Amino acid sequence: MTDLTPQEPPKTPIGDFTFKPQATGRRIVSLWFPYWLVQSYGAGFDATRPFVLVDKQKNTQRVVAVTPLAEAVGLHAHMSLADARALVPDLQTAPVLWPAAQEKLEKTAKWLQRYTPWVGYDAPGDSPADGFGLLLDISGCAHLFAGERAMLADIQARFQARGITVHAAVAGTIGAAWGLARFRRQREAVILPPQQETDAMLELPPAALRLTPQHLDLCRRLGLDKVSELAKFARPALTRRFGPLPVMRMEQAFGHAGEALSPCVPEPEFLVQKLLPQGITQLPALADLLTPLCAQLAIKLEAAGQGAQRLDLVLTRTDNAVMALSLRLAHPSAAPSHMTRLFADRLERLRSGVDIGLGVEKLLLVASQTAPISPPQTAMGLQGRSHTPPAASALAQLIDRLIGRLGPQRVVRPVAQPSYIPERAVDFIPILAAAEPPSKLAFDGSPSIHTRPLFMLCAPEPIEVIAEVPEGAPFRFRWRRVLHEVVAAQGPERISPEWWQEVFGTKSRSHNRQTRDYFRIEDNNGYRFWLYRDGLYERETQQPKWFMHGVFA
Amino acid sequence: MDEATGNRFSELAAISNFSFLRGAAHPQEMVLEAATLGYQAIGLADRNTLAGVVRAHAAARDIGLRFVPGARLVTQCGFEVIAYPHDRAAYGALSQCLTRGNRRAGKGQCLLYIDDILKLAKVEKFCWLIVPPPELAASFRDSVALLAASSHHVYTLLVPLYGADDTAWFGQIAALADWAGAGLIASFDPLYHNPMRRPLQDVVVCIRHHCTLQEAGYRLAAHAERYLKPSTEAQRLFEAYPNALRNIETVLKVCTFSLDELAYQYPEDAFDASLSPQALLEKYTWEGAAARFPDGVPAKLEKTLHHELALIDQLSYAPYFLTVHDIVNFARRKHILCQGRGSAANSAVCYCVGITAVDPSRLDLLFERFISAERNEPPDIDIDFEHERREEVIQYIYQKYGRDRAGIAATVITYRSRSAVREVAKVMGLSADVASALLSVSWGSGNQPPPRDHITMLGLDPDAIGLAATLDMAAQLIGFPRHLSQHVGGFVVTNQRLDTLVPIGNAAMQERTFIEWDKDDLDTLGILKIDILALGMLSAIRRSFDLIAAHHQRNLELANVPPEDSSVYDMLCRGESIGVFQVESRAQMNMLPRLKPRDFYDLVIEVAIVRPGPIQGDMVHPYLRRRNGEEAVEFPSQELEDVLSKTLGVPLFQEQAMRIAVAAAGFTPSESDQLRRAMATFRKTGVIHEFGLRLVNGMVARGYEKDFAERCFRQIEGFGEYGFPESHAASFAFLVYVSAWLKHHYPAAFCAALINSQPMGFYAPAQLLGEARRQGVVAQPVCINASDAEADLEINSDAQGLARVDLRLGFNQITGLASADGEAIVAARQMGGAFDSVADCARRVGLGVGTLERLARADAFASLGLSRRQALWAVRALAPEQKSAALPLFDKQGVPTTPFEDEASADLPALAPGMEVLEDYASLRLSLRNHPLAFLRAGLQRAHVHQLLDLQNAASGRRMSVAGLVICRQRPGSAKGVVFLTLEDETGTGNIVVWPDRFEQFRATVIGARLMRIEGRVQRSGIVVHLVAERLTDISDQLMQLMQQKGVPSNTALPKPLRGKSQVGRRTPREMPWRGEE
Repeated sequence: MTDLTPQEPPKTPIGDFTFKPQATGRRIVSLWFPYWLVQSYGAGFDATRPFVLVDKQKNTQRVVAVTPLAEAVGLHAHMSLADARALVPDLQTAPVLWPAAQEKLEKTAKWLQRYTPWVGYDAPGDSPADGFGLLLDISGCAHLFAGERAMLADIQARFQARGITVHAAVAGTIGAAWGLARFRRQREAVILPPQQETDAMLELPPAALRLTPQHLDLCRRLGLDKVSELAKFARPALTRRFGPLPVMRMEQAFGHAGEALSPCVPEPEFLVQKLLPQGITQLPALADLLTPLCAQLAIKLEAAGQGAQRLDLVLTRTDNAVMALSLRLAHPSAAPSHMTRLFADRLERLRSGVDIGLGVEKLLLVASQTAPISPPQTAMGLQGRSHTPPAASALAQLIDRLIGRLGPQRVVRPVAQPSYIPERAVDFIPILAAAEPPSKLAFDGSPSIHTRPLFMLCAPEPIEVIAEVPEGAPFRFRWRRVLHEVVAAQGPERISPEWWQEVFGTKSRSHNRQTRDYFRIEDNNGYRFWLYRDGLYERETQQPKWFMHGVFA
Repeated sequence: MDEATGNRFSELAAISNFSFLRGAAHPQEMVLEAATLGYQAIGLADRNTLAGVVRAHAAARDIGLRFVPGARLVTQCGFEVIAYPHDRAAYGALSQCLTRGNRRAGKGQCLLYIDDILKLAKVEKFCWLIVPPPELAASFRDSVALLAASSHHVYTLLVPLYGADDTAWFGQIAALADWAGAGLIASFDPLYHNPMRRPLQDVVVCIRHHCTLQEAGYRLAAHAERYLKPSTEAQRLFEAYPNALRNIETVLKVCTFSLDELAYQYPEDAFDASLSPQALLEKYTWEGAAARFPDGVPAKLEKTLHHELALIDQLSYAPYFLTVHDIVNFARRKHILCQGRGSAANSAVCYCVGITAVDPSRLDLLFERFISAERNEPPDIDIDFEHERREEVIQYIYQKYGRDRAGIAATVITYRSRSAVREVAKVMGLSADVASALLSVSWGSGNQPPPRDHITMLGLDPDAIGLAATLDMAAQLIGFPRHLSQHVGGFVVTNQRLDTLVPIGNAAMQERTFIEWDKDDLDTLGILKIDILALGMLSAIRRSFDLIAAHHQRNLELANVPPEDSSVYDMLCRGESIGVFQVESRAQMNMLPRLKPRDFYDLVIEVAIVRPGPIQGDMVHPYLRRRNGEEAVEFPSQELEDVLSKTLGVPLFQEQAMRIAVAAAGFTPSESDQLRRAMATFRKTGVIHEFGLRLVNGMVARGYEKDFAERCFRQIEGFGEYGFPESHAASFAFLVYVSAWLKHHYPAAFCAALINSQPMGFYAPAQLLGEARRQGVVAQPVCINASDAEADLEINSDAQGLARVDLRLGFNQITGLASADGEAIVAARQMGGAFDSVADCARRVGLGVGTLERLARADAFASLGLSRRQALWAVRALAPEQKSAALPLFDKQGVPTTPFEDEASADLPALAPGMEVLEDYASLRLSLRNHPLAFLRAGLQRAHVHQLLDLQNAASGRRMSVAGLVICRQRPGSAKGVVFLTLEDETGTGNIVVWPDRFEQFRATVIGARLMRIEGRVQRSGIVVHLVAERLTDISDQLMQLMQQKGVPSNTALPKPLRGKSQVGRRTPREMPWRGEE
């Protein structure tokens, strides 16, 4: 850890800037994560080989982030993937996930609130890739952690333990802390004593001033490679050529102009809690407590015109252990009775599996995800036709309760799939899962519903058939030991296997390697069947097998 | 179907892959399969186009199957009907109808309405085959009835759908036909010839819909039944509808039109009515001859002229020559340089009428060789024009003959390796990552899928089932037509209306139209085309002539450049050919000192020898050995002496190889021509090997050595890709000579002309200028008060006070500067004299801050005593309001608004000398200061790194180190993975050879380094020297040291290699690979 000891008293004016140190008393920590994208990516790659994240920009796959290892072999952000592959043919790559990286940064920001409530994002640099950093206003907090030095050491140690590279600096202004974290480039945290901002900044390159690439390009071309060289010009001369930004940034960094830090983690709005003087040890008692809690939350939600989509119940035990229970709702709801019932159902299911130890002393209920709801319309002008509750919300509540009992994976709904293969024409997905509807175009030319039986067998059943070769309809067949004489037949409707499914090994089933000829059959008793020959005679097989696949009403 | 045909079926509703992304078979494949199945005939009708019929026609003609050409007309409302013309007149009307549809729509589209079809049905005789949609809507029924009322031959296709109930479907169609008064035609409505193509059909459907196979759903077909089925199957399926089979016979009986009827007529407007074309051509010829030879036409030439004119008369080719003559005349009137090339162009007649400037007596080419009475093929003349002015010639042709009689031939753009892999990977749903990895190993223009070992190298398993299918599909897709585009300059001019011959469509370019057939199709039908091509070197030569006329007071034109100047040949023999047409590539520069050209014909050989034909045929070294007297000149046989005497017994030209096939292997001339075509078009089919076998066996049977025969065949294979006949070589050789002459005698003018004609040739302005300076030219920098818009010459006095012609760089050299701005500066200077400050320049010229910054960056204000940085500081002071938007906060604090307040040109740090050079490169792509390497030399010398000049003088086998900027990287396709690098330092350039094993070892350096140090062994052959690399080091970071400044992005100021890393592995058509003898 390096302390920048005061070298000499602040310098006399350079150019127009008078360097009066200002006693702001603020202390700002800047944390910079140079490898945030890759280090927050997870473990989906071989860490012993170069790994980069790529993104499609203007029709080119470009590298946006590299691991230190990849950097060492000459890869860098902004290069095209083709160039990178030319350098490292067996390069590991993955598409960058901006939202995930941002989400993880958000989480980190939340976590950093353990040091100070004022945690904010820093202004992004010239590209999102080097924009991952956080700012902490630790004014008046450091002593809680045994001083700035110990506090930074603690922060760094914790990031190191998570495998995340961090450069840290603490200074009296946001600008100085930001610049020092990124341009002092040392492994140890930089701790700038109060009122040294100006001197420290003057030694840094202009990029430390949080300027745009255009500004930096101009600096470079004019040969201005330090903040001090920029600062020596008269302010109007500088502003005319550069615009106001560099002057403003200098003023901010030196502490002459204020700059606010806006915390990035807002307080959850919809939160109610209940503290219990004595821990309760009975689950049913807990459920009773939930009723008023849900009612309180519902009042808050309704006042805001919101409905809960996700509810989190946090129980704190007397021994400080924390348990959380999450619920997702099919439709946003602010109905207290519904919420209560869902929790009651859930708690009942948990009864045996939950250990409330010596008792729960605190209940916290948060609507962590909400969406606007409009108050249900009760009447439509036509007398006596109102539904209470409306059918849609009744269904939603039913779904919520079913999920509460059966689990979200077990409540499913059918979705039409654009496939000629009858058993693939429908798929079942969890009801809460957002189904990506296949493109409408994919359903153009779907077979008429009249050609499909109302009742389809789960699995086609082999039958014995006498039929004409190569592609004639059956004369008679035996299914489940009953012989049927065919009196009328329509077909064949020819359906070839989806060759690409087999290619990718998706959903491959042994009986689906051959072309099927479907027939609609009527037997002498007037029953109608749907059956098929599996395999084209001579082209695919010598002995086609026959299967029963469905029954018409 | 009657007894005589033995129940042979005929398919009349086939489409090919010219129904783009619908059909999945080549026209030839459809025809061949029909023949294999014993069909009586096949009718092929692509969707709103006739683009595929010629190929089908040619295939059917070769195999002896009856072919019926037609088009499947699809209207905007989806009504689909196939039209088969009964006769030539109907065909013409069909073609015109498609032309109308094409011209209404944008490129590649055709807008037709039901009225167009009804109109067509009323005026001409067609057989109409209606394709019923899956749902028979009322509007469709009405259309059928309307069409049936307009024509006698209206049929509805009866196609088994293999849907839920085909019996009912057949019944519906039959009832509809009955109701509307139409007949039935049995068909399979095939999309492909063979059910194995179904996966590919699914893939192209997905490509058309921009979706993956998983997403495609019902857009794909349910089954694989849309192929050509055996006649017996047809009999069985259509048993209940014998009429549907009988009607096929009727259609075949009445549709007698064959594409062979498209007789071509030469245009006749180029000449007046008083003289016959032949008489007129003779008149022009003798007049021209008299002008070329004021002292009397040599007797030998006169004899040749008589002979050629007689042959032209016999074949009635006079109108063709007159048409070419007319175009050339137009160019001459407009002072556009041009030169004819191609088989007929090197005739004495062409020389006399001014189509070419190559004296035929210097070549001794036989006219019959190109225009043979026996083959009756149209003569072939391509004309090269200055690349910037070719458009004028094209518009002249349109204007003279009209758009209804002149059109540009099409080029069929096919799926190549990269595009096929990219599309298929998308359809197969491969991740973008795997897809881009696959693309990274698929070289651009190849037509082979990526080789297995390259895929293994990526860490992918080529046998993994998804990947294998992708590669398999891609391999099948390669060669499929993707769309039609206009040919670079192939013009078809007809005497009757062109649109009755072939449909014409809009090109993407404004005011351009092109026909639907490409040059092979035109060839098949014997239709003449003239290639109007663009050649950058002609622009450069014209510019040189202009500069020389303005500054040296000497008027030159192509025909009066002094011939056979030995000092020019001396220069070429030294390999000093940078900037010279055709022979400036590295391979050619290596060849020049070995071949030692001494006269014009040597240049012809020089141009032709560095080509795939002679190289693949291993003919290069035998020729060189014989030329250098290391091997006796002998001929394999008496009969080949005639063929090969001019080239010392070694076949070098395409026509020699063809004549060997005739003279030595017993081919007939037309067979040998088929052989050449087979190479070009049917590369994938087995035809070649058949020919190859016949050639080799034929030659061996006649007593030739097997090795020689095989080499001849390999050479023919090489010609297949880039055929290069002697006549082309001769025309090119002439431009080689002219440009070499200019380079030698007027290096400053030639260099300025080349710089102004960029982009062209192999070298960037930096190398061209470097070469001129080595020749003693003094170059002056870009200057706000002295430069012209383009590079120019200026008269200065040298140290002794003598006048000297210097080259002055122009504003066009500055990266990103608009040419209009350059011209505005010059104009303002002419109005009000020299500028005295940046502000003065800004005010008088009215330039934006961006432009002024570029000028400052290019150091154009140096003559005002301002350095780059000072000029930039001054420029930035000009217009504060144009810069980044001011924040309100600062507006209040008051940004001064007086515009020209002087802040005494600020004391800005001076640029390091090395940095100045890099800045030069960044904004001018060249520097007149020292080479960047000069600043690093001291350090390099300490590391025992030699100058590249030392390499030239080093003994063979010696180990040494050199370093330099990488200006060129090449990995020619046929050089088996060898990479050629060209380095540059302050003493010149050096050639490096990197063998594949070293390439793999130092891959990153070879591809990525801009500045490289190379240790290797000197290899010398004659005066050609190269260094065979053993260890390569990337020392690009030393360039960064030059800047002595941190935080500078590495990509801003470094000179970039002329041919970037992407060039590695690509082969440019100009640079044909040279294979070292090692």
